[in-house]
Amino acid sequence: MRFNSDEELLNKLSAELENLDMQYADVSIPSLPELEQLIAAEAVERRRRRRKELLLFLLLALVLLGIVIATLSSAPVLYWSLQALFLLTALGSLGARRLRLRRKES
Amino acid sequence: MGDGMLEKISQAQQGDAAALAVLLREHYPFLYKYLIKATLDPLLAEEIAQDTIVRCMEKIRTYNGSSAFSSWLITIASRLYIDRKRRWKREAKWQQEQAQEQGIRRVRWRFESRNLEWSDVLDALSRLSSAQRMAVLLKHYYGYGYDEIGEMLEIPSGTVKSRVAAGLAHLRKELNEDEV
Repeated sequence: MRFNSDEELLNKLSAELENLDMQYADVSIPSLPELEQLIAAEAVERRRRRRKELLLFLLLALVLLGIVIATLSSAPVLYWSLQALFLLTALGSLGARRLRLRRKES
Repeated sequence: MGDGMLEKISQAQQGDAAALAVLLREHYPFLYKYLIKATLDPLLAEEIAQDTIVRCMEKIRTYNGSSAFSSWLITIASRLYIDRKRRWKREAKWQQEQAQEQGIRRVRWRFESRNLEWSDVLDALSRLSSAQRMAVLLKHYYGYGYDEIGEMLEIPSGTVKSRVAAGLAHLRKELNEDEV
C-alpha cells in the first residue's frame, strides 16, 4: 500500500478506525442499576476518605499544638529564638528574591 | 449539546445519582471506543473506561460546560491512560512490551475470528508510540484542534503538532516500506 499524499493516508486511516469501531459495536454497557450502585458506593467511599483526611489533619494539628505548648512552657527562650529565626529566614529569602528580580529587570 | 443533556448534567451536578448514571451509560460506548483506538487493547480500554467513570463521579461538579461532555470524558480518559503509561515506565521494558503486544493480539484476534483482514494501516498504527497515536487520533479522527488537544493532554500545542507530524511520517514510512 503506497500513499502519495497525507490526505490519502488519512482517508484510509479513518476508514480503518471506523471499521475498528464497528468490531466493538457490541460493547457491554453497564446497566443503570449497576451504575447507580457504583455511584452510591463511590459516594460512601468519598465520604469515608474525607473523614479520614479530616481526622488525620486534626491529629497532626493537635500534635503540633502540643509541641508548641510544651516548648513554650518548658523552654520559652528556645521557643522565641526559633520564632525569631524562622521570621528572619522568611524575610531574608523574600528580600533576596526581590533583589534577584530587580537585578533581572535592570 | 441538547437541552436534555444539559439538564441531565445539571441534575447530576446537584447530586442526582440516577441522572449521572443515565449520562454515563449514554456516553459509555463513545468512551470505550475512543479507548480501544487509543490503547489498542480491549482489556486495558475497559479498565480505563471504568476508572474514567469513577473519576467522572468524583469530578462531575467541576465540569463547566466549556467543552462537550464527551470531550471532557475523553480528556479524563486520556490523562488516566498517560498516568498508567508513566507508571509502567518504572516497570521492566520487556513487561511493557509484552502487555502491549498482548493487547494488540486481542484486537487482531477479534478481526480474524470474524474473517476480517487485520489491515496494514492498523498494524502500523499499533506500532506508533501511545503519545503519537493519541495525537493523530484526536486530531485526524475526532477533529480536535491543536490547542484543544494540548489542553486535553496538558502539553503545549507545538508538541501536539510535532507528535501528529511525526506520527503521520512514521505511518507513511512503515506503509511504504511494506510495499517494497
